[in-house]
Amino acid sequence: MSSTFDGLFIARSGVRAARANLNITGQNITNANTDGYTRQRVDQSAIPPCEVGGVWASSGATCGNGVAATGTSQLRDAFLDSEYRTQKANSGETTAEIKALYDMEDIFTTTTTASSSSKSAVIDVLSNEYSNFISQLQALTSGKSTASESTIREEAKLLATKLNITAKSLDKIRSQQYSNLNDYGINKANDLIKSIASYNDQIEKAEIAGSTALELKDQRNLALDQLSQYVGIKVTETPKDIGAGRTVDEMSVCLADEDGNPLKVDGQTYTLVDGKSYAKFTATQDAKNEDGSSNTGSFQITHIRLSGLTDDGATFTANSGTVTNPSPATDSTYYFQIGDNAPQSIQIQTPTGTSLAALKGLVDTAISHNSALAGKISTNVVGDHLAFTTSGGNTLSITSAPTSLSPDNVLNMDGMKNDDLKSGSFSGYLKLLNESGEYDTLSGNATTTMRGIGYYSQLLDSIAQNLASAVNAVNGTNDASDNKPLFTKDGTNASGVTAENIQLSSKWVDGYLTMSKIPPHAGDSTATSYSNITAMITALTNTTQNLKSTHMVLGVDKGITIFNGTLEKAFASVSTMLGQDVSSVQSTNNTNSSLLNNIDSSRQEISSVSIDDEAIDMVQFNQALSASSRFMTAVDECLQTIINSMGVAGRG
Amino acid sequence: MRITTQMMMSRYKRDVSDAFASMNTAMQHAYDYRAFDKPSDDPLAAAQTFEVHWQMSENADYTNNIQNMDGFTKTADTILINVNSILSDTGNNNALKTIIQNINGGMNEGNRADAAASLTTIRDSIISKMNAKYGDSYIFGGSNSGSAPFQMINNELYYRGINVDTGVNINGASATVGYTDVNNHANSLQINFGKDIGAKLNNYKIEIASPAGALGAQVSGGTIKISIPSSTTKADLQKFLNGSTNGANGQTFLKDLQDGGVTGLTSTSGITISGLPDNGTDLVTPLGAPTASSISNVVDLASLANENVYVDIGLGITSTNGKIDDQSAFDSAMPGIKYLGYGTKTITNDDGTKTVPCNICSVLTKIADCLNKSKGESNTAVIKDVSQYIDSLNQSQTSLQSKQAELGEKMSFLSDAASYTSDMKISLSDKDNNVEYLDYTDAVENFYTQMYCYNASLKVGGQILQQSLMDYLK
Repeated sequence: MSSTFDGLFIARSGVRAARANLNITGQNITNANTDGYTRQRVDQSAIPPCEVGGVWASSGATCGNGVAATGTSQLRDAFLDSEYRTQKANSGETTAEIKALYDMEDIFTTTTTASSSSKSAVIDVLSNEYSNFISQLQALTSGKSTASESTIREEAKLLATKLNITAKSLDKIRSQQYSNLNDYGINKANDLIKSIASYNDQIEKAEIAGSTALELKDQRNLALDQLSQYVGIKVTETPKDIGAGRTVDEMSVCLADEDGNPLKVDGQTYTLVDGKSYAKFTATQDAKNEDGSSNTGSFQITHIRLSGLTDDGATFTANSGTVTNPSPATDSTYYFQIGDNAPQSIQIQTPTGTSLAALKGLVDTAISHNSALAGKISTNVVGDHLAFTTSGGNTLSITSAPTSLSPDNVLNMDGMKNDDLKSGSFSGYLKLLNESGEYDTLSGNATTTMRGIGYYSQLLDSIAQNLASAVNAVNGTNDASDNKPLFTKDGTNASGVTAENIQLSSKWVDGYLTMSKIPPHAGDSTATSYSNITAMITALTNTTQNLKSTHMVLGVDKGITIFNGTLEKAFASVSTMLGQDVSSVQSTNNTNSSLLNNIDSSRQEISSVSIDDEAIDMVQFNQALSASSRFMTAVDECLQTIINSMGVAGRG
Repeated sequence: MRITTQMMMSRYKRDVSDAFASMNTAMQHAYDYRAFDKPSDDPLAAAQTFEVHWQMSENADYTNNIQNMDGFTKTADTILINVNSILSDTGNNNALKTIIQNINGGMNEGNRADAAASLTTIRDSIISKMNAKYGDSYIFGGSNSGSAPFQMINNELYYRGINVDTGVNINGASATVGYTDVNNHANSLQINFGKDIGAKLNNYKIEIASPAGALGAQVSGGTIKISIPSSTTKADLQKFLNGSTNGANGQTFLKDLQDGGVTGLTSTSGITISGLPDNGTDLVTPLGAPTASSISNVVDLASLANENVYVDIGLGITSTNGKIDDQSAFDSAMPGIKYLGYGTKTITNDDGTKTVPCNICSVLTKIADCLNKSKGESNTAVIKDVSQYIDSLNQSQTSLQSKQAELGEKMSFLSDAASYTSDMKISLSDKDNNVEYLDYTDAVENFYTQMYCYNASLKVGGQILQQSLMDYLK
């Protein structure tokens, strides 16, 4: 039998639960438009009768003790979050690419009103200039009075200038893209990584204190969503025992591949955030390929690296035979000279936050790559030191002076390579900045890299070189046809011409153009027969040119054919090929963003606030509150009857 | 499916933005009619468009060239008709045919001088017509259209400094000498000896001796053998030939020549090598089996009369070994001697064989000479003298007419080419319209459709966005 005042307790729990629900409804309504907000609900359950299972449990009609609001939780699906972030990374990659490609496309085409009609037309600027040059040559051969060597020279100058401007614009886009990557991408991603680690810390503290910290989780989720735009990430939550039978979820974030699975290279994963520890991205540019070999291309290679985890920015210093973990922390480079009679050098870079275990791994790798040291030295982590042990009585010394070390021995602490970034805008930027499509490809192999900025600038170089060599050879009058170059790299030298440096020979004044190569009779002149100009037109319009890749890949001369056709077709191919590339990336980007929208819709279906839902909830919980209050009145009346009116029957 | 306010809002935003973007594009297309704004909008159409642009520009070049060539050949044709009519004219007493008829009919000595003067006038009038210009170019200059081709010197006709009868170049002699070039190919260079040196060395032969010896020259049996050590450049060779440097024996080329019996030379400083590169670094290596080339001031008149100057008029110009293929371009060269005739021929009559010129003007000169020299001669003798030239004159006139007919064929060929390029212009313009531009009706209709879609989406938005259950709760 329940106690006399049980009803009041039940009514009170109902009122409390209804108020909690009403408050949460209010919270949901007020945050309906808050970015990243996840719909919340009150976790409530019925309280069983207290006698259940007890020694004095009574039988018969028993009643529970009302309702308990045990907490609040979020309506969120971790699977959809993961899907969303994977897709966001894919979308981030193509978005980064398409923006730069649009800029590139604008360089090659312009909209203008054609002189022949009032209609505006899309003009391929390079082809247009090239065709003007040919027209001037043609006009001279047919004896048109307005055509002369100087008009040809002016047109050639315009063509060279157009090539210069186009090549420089491509360079500008490259430097803009690098600065976008570095100033906004890398810095923003590092800020996000740091703030995620900070949220982890705050959430853990709040949860230990008994709070749910739902709003902090929302902000952390938002930061994770934003981070996934830059790199593909995999988020893992592991329950951690905090004593008294309670657990909190500890979150770690690692790099993921394009399918959303943790990225593993040689069994190693790349952790961005682990609890409150975090790593840091850095971007650098140098003239080295990913394997450390020198890049012979005309541009610098961009490298993105990931540091080890840190929560306070620890780093290392070198003592004789050991490496310690010092304070204060600075980024440093140390040089280890290890060896016996024939000293060997290994250079190790230790960015801020490199873990000792990671350092050991890299030192071991470096030693194993050095045939003179391999197998003779072993390393061990001893406390905060990395100790070196030599075998066979070898002596060991470590130097901090960078003396005559081969840069090829430089190892990065992180071990991460550009290729490990499989998705996200970082990957997009790297492809644009570093990849050159067919120019990266060895002869006989299929092209696997994207046509980035490098492809187009190298294609322009190839065209400029072929243009110069075709025209120069026709104009030459000596046996090697190289004595009267029209196009040069610096006004005199015809070798090493690129699109950026192509310019007219400083010797090109009137009379420099070879009009005819037939030796005239004594006292005669064939300078007005223009037979050589006709030959030049033939070389420029009808002769098949073979545009080959000129740079080396991994020290191998590729020599593969990039384009085979007339120069006129080569000029036109630049903008049409770029158009196709843009169109293809655009289509992938559209698909990616529509997939992302679909996944976002699915996520919003669960997590976002519907005003209608909340209005219904409000009515419902308001009614529940009224009903519980009414019940309390009923119980009160009941008690009134029992206490004041019972047993007074028959009193006068 | 649960639809939330946020979902609806964000989807609506996206859709309205898409509808607006589509309307904007359609609006732009409704006033510029372009099928694409950037190559990436439609890569295939862009590629076709750029190809058509190129073809149109090429076609415009060809049209220009054909127009110029047309004017050029038409002017030439008019001049040739004129020359021909001078040759055939019988209109007055000073007309050529009349004069010849009068000569054949017998004329007194006083009239002979008048007739000779008239013939000279007729000849000079032909020469001045043949020196006509079209624009800045001398029409009948062949490969040299920069200066007047015909010139009378000492009563002889010269075409670009070359005697039209004998082929003798008054500007000097030259020799074409074989050597091995830097690419290890057999090549030849032309040594020009100038007027005075050429006259002294005329009919000598010259060769680069093989195997190469020390720098120097030897004359034996009418052949000048030039010995050059390895690593001699064209510039070195020229310096030795013009006396700037001495040979290995310490003496000049002039001395070598004098030692070999050449007389009358005082200097070799005028000798030049044709096409000598500015840097002069090309190596000259003797051929394995050298052949001696003649130093001659006689030019091959036939090759001079058949010079070509090619102009690209869209016949698919091609070249072989750096030379334009004949059928692939229009030959605009009209060497004057091709029309007026050149060289000489031998005729046989009662007095034996005689050499008569083929050139119309030279023939006229000869006839005038006959008349001028005929003082005291009988009419019969004069008629006999003149008649041997009259045959040649008639033949040359026939040849001129046939060459004129060839020119007519060229003109009709140009006219065909002109109508082809003009048809091509229309067809390319059609093609351009098809690939680059939208159909006007389609563009306007599409704009109205997009505008309707956009308006509809705004209307629907107005209906649904404001509504929620809140509006109906009391």
